[in-house]
Amino acid sequence: MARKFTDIDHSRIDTLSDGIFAIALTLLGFDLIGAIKKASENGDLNEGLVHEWPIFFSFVMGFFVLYAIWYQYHVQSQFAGKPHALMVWQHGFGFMMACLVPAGAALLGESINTPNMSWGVFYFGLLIFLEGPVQLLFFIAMRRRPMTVTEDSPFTGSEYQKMGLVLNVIVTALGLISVVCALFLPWVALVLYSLYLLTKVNPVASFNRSIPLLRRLVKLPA
Amino acid sequence: MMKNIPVSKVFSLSDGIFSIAITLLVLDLIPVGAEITSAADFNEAMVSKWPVFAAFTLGFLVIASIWYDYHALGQYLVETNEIWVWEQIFTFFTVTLVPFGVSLLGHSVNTPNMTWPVFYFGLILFARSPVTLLALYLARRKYGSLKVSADFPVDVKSFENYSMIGLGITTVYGGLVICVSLINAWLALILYSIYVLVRMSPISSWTNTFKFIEKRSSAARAGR
Repeated sequence: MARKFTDIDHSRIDTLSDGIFAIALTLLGFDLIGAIKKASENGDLNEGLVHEWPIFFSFVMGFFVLYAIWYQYHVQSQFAGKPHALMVWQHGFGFMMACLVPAGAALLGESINTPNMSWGVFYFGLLIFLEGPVQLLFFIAMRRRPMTVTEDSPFTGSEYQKMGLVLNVIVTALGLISVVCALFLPWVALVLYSLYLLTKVNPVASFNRSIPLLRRLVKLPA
Repeated sequence: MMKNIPVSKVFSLSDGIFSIAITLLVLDLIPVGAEITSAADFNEAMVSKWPVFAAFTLGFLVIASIWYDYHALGQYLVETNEIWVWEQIFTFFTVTLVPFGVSLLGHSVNTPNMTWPVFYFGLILFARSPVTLLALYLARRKYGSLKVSADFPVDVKSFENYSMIGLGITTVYGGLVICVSLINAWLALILYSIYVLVRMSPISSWTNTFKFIEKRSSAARAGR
């Protein structure tokens, strides 16, 4: 066989991602509809709305998490070349996490200020940080089959992989600390989650700032 | 002469359907949040809901692997006909049914009613194979081979032949496994999962199949 079957274009994954992120973001609104129904049953609507604040808070958190994942996803994937099966499923896992965020936000909204808050915050944290160890595994699995990147990419596929390994080790460690913290001090864990999310507000600047350190850690030329 | 709709139109519809179906899977998980947070023991309640989470994961893998398989071949197609369009629509029909199948599965696994939901989930999983097989056969009779781009790596006719064999095998396997679900639902679930796992890398499956075929045919030529 002189020619080979080639894998799908990255644009196909991007198109799917657009739909998934848009729908997951919109599904977050489901919990708010329920909260408004409850609030309107209260004699004082505003009091009812204030009483339902955890639902509004978890909506904001969920929206922030999803939007940050979406932004980071597109910042990284703009340099992705023709994917292979591992890369396709690496993206697939990211989408699975994105799909689960509305469920995590619902869990958080229902559990804040209840005796079950610790576990609600714990599982919400898992959704935020599980990306770290799983991406780490994908990067390890891809050692023999490097990532493909576009010609204008600032790094080669193997450079991405090396830096990705280190970055995901850091995310995994941060995640571990944060989710364990959720079991004892859920409010502190929520602050840690928010701080982590703040680093994702501008992923381009965050990456550019961390590149010199990552290069040193994986011993790449400056 | 009027021509049929472009492939890109069908792809645009598919993008919406796949992304909505895959995201709708979470709808079953959202009410679980309220149930488990009101339980006295959060984790016990969460563990008791494991079928809903397992069904979500299986459903996600099913839709993602159909999507991957769909685009792996779709990228080479250049022309449509009404049989192909309706075959695609049937694929979308099964994809839109997956969240329903997942919901059925999530609420029935580990209950006395497990058998039938596993049976129906199997129907949704395997329904595509006989329909695609029939569509391929009919389209070939009416229009000849699929119209593919110049970079399609193998002979289209032999690709269709082996695809039809593959679809025939899948149909038989699916039929058997669906019957198994009526006798042993757990075994059927394992067989469904194996099928889904096998389909996770369509490109390497095809490449390996054609390498094998080429090896055999060159061995046969050398024997002659």
